[in-house]
Amino acid sequence: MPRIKSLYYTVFLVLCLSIQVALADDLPIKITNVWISEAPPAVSPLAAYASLQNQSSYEMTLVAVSSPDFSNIEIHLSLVADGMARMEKQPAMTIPAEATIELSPGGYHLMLFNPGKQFVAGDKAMLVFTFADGSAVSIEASVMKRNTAHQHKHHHPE
Amino acid sequence: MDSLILGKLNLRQYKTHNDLRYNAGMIKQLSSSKFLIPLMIIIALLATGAGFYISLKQSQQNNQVPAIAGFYWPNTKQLHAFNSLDQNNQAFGLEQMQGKWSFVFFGYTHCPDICPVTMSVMADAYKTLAPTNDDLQIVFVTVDPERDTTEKLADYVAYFNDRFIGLGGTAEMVESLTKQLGIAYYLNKEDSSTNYMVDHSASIFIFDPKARMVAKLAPPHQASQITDEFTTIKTFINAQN
Repeated sequence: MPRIKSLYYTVFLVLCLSIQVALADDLPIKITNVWISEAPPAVSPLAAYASLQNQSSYEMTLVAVSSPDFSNIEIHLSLVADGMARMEKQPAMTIPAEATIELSPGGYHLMLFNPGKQFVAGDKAMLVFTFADGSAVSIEASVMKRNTAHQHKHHHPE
Repeated sequence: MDSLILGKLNLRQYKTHNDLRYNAGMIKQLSSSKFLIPLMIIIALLATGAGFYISLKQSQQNNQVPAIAGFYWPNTKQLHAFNSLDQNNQAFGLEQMQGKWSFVFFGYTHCPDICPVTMSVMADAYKTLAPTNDDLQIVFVTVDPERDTTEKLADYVAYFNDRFIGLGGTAEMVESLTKQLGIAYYLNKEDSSTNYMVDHSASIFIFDPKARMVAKLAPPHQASQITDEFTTIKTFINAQN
């Protein structure tokens, strides 16, 4: 009897989840918390961070990010080994099925080269994320000041 | 009446006299005993021992090296002469490190992630520490002086705090500081001519007013941790002097 009950429960949960998926965005990738960190004057490249959520049941690979406001954008990973910091350029970034990858300070980030102007907190820039399957997502990123809350709690502004 | 009082007094005098005699007799008895001298020696030894124990305990407390990862004590590294230029194009060398506590970070301005993260953490720590530590200076040293001109450094450091110091100059000037401290960095110039990345130390180095490198704080950095560790180190080193 308890087994049947738990089976019903599971079916109910699965139904709830399917409804939720059906209601969600049509896009397999949901990009949130996109922000560009304000930098000292004349500093290039700038760094951008985001949260990439793969809502699909297949892996998605981010292959390029572009913007009319920057000459080029690269995906980098900051690594610290034996006290030495270095950045590793990533040719692509794979987001496994139903997984989320955070681009956050001290880890994965986008490097935005040669900003067309001095970006200050409050400014916006359009970023286009292109995936291996040919799909692309355009999203507006806000320029924000860094604060240590971003850096350690991985708490991104909405 | 008078004689009665007198008699009473006499009685008291007698009693006192008797007491004295009794006490004198005790002392005489004790001094004549074999135990007095060893007893005095034991008391003296115990007192000396107690005093010694207390002073040892106190000195142990002062010498208890704080358990901070990266604290070099007692193997600090003495900084020797070096020459560099600060963000105002003024000479900055050993003299400017003496008499002050310094946080030193080696980076480059084209570093978009680790460096600004570290600089903003140091800015937060400085905001907390500065009111009670007017002898604290925060120093950013570029390991990429070719691209990071002193003018650029001025804008860079001021963005985080207008009291921060930015050091650069020629490659040789930067080396006069990094080589003696064993600070490693590598310019990945083969990647591209202008957009090259630099591998660099991610640690924050603490120097005391004698210009000794006393600690190396490893990442990930947190302002509250830096503040606590600096305060502990400063208190400890001040107690040694």
